[in-house]
Amino acid sequence: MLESLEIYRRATTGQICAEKDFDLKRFIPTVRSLVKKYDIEYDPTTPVPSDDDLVERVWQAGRELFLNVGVYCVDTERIIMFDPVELDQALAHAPRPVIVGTGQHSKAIPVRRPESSIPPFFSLGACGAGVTSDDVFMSLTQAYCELPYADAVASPALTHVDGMAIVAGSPLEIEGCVRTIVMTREAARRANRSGLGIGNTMPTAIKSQGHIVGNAAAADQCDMMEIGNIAEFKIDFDNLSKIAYMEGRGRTILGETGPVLGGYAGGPEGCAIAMSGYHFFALLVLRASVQHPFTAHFQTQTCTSREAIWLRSLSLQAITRHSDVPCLESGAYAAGPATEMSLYEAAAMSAPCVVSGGSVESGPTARATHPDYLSPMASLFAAEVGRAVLGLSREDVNAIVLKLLDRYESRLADPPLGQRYQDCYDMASRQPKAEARASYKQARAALVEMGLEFKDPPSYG
Amino acid sequence: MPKAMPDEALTDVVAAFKRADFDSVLELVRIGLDAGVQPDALLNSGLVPGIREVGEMFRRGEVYLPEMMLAAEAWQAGVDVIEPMMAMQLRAEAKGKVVIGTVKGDIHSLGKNIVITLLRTAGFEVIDLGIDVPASKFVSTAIDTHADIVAICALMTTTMPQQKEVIEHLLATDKRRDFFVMIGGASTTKEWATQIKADAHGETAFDAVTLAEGYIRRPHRSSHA
Repeated sequence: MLESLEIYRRATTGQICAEKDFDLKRFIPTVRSLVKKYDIEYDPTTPVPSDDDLVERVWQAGRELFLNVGVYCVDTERIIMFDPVELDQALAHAPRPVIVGTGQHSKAIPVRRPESSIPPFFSLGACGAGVTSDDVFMSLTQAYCELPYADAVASPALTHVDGMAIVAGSPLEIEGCVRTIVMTREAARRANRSGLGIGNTMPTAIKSQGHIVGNAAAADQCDMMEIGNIAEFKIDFDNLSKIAYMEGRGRTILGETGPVLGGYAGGPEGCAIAMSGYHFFALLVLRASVQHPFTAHFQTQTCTSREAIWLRSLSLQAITRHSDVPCLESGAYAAGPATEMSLYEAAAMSAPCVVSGGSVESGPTARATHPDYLSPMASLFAAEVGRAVLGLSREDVNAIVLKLLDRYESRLADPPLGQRYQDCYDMASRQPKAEARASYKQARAALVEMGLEFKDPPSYG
Repeated sequence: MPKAMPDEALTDVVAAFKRADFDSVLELVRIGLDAGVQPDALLNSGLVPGIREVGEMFRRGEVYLPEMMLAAEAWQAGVDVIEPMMAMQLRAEAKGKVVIGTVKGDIHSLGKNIVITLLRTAGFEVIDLGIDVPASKFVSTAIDTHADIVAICALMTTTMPQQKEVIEHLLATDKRRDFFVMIGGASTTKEWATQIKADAHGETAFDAVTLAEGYIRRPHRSSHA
């Protein structure tokens, strides 16, 4: 497999190209032509596709996209190119297995295929959504760590330090990063799960110095650090610096790959191709041991629309059919805490992910854009649903997702904000209050009515 | 004297936009000119309704950003050919001048670029400062270029404070009232805009155009601060 220094060398010696030309003359036309060449067509009636030929075409198109377009380095304004042998080597020699956590709380992220009966890995938490104070951070994160199906915790991000707003690149970012990981570790200890792995070690960080200092302060060998693309098929020196640090320390990188639905890759067809091609971006450029697919609509920031579910399921199937590198899929729910809608969205993200061969990172509520509007219940429900769909076919899950979409699709444009964690949970006991419990009870009953057989008893009476 | 304008030349240009055949727009403009169509007619009855059609399709979610960006490129290529041929008095004047950028510490460009495309195709002159832009750069560019509007983008909760910083830099000059300041970005809200004394908050890229047009239409538009 290519060395990361070779990626850097290519970033500094590759073909010079203006960024606008990369977008307009290279990336966009190639995606559009591949959609036609491989006859990729969005079908709103099957948000969870089961057409293996279509899945195969998306895989081939993604590979071709990566080979033909390359990766743009915005600092050098050059294109990093790869050849087919290097892609094959990346698939063959990528590091695996990936163990997250230590001691009795360690767990491997399994290699899964579409319709696999192997249980997925669940990284549950706020996934980088903001919280405003240390108190909320501690109670909320402990609540996530206490969730029975959490194989790892995905930390929130701090937005303030001692009442002062964190500014990216400032000393407060450094302090915020150190606090984030120290408090997450402490939250796991308080939950009697000291060895629980952290699924995203540095969500408070924007700049590489925050990532590096925070990780150096308290990250363990068996935590994962999330590093992502900065725009479609683009990277910069700041992210390459994070990667250099993590590789140098022998740490696990969770490679976030997030084509924006409606953005440069276009509609669901182009985004499915891009997401598939991003597998190679994750392996070769981000040096990821786990791919972390994510997509949201460019205007509504919605991850649970019909189109988003389709493109995620399709591209996930394409990747997991061909690669032994696990995928931990992520996404935010549009509705806020203590709403039934957020639970339907959690189900509609988790079920397709599991049946498509992925593992689940779940997930912030309220689009992850409203600080403190976070709900451990939504993550728990995603895990319960993910466990319940094991053994189902893609057709079965498609039928359930169609019913779920009926429940919330019309409200995606203006979703209910719900309540802040500190308002819908008791902060001391970390248990949901009556209104939140009622939403859980109703959503669970609705899923049963849709034909889903839960394997676990209800978490809340 | 040029020949009378054949309607087909204009409808062909509009139709090319509608069917997303952007590569043919420039050629169709040249064919129209060769056929004697008046340049101002090609602009106002061909390129402008064509790009507006794509803009509406984009607003309705029928096409996505690639189509919008390619349409904008085709539109600009057509304008570049036509405008030098037009009498000065007939040339389209920009509705207003917008200085836009993503704040210091933030490297996200997609939302900003969508706003730029929509503003340009709506007739605004846009000065793009790019990403990771220091507050002083927003201020000096707005003053130096006599801009009407300053648009400040930030995606992350930890970069939103830089929007406030830009406004405080503006307030530190005696020029704050010269500019309409609008903010946007995934984590920003109307309440945040009020708190930092911005003039407006755009929830979506389309809002940014509506806000900019609304400001430009105001009779005494420098008294907003």
